[in-house]
Amino acid sequence: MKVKIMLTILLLSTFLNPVLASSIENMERTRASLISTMLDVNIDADKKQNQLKNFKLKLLDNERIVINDKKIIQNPDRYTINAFEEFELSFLVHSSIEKNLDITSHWFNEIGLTTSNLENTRLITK
Amino acid sequence: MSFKLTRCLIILIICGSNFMISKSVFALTDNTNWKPQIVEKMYILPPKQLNRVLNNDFKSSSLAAILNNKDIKIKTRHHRIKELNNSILTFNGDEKIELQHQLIVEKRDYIRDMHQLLKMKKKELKIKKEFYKQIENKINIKNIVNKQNQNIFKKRDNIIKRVSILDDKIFDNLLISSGDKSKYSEAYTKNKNAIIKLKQAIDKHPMSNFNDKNNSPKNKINSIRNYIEDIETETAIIELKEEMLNYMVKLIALDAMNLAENISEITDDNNQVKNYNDPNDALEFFIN
Repeated sequence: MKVKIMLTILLLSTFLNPVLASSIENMERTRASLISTMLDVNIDADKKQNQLKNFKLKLLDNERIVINDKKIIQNPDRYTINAFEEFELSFLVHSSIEKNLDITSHWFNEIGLTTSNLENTRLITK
Repeated sequence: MSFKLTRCLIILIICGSNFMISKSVFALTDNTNWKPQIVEKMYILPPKQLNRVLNNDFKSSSLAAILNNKDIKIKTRHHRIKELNNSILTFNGDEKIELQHQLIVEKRDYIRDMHQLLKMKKKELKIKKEFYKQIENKINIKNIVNKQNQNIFKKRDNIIKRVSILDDKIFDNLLISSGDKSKYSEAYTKNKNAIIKLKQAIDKHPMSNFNDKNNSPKNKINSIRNYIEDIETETAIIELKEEMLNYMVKLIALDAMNLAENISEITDDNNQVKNYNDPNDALEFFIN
């Protein structure tokens, strides 16, 4: 009985923790949505383009907010440090425009899935 | 005669109490208080402005008001002592003794007020020193934190430079082609241009170079340490003045003893009694 009460209190206490959404988390959430839309094969092309366009605009705003946010720099957590160290992968919209590429090509390039790499892959069976 | 004896006793009491003055502590009233309020903006102020803010805060405190009043009181006593010194030369006899008595009392009160003034000055300096020490500690902590975060600050600055060049490209490639702009992107464009103009105005301002030079962390720490050193020097000077007061007290005690001695000599002269009990005086009665 005592164990049940303790577990209930512990479970309830998790609900009391407020969710603090920092600007970095918002940006990463939007980026994750954009990438998952990019990789989703079940959506038809027009709808995909529309969704990508909307996510791109939203991600642009989020990236600008993160760049101009001074609070996250004061006591940076590891997510913030990683974001600023990996500019090309974190700030997709800005870095894709900088390189004159569309966002999908830019992301594939950054993770190593370039055309030449794909052409050079071979299937080896043993 | 009895009046002169009473006066003599009073002077002896003054003389005795003066020895105690040099060792006693003058209690300050509860109103002699000053608590400078440290606000966040003080940590970013240049040292000169910070010093000015602190001095202005002190001027509006109760400690400053009481210090000023005490200072005026001491000036008045100084003037009275001077007048009494001049008057003593023109009088003789009982009036002179009376004036000397008043002079001793006035000097004693002067020393008491001066002692309190110096104590309040020391309190002011102590509070100022604690304030600067707090600022110095905060700056040191900030420098340590900044040193650890230097990498990320540099990265952020580089990103800002890269991104500022892209704003026009973003506007042309993305925002115009998409047709609709978000609330943030409209506000961003408008405010960004305003910020650029404001930054240019700040760069052109004559005080901006002056502040940058004096507000660098190294210069700021050095300036604050100089202020602390100045305060410690002033405190040492006040302690020398307090020592001086001790010697003044001893001199007054000696003056009081001298006056008491003079008065007792005068009363002894007036009270000389002929001794009628000598047998030689009655000899004529027995010879004849």
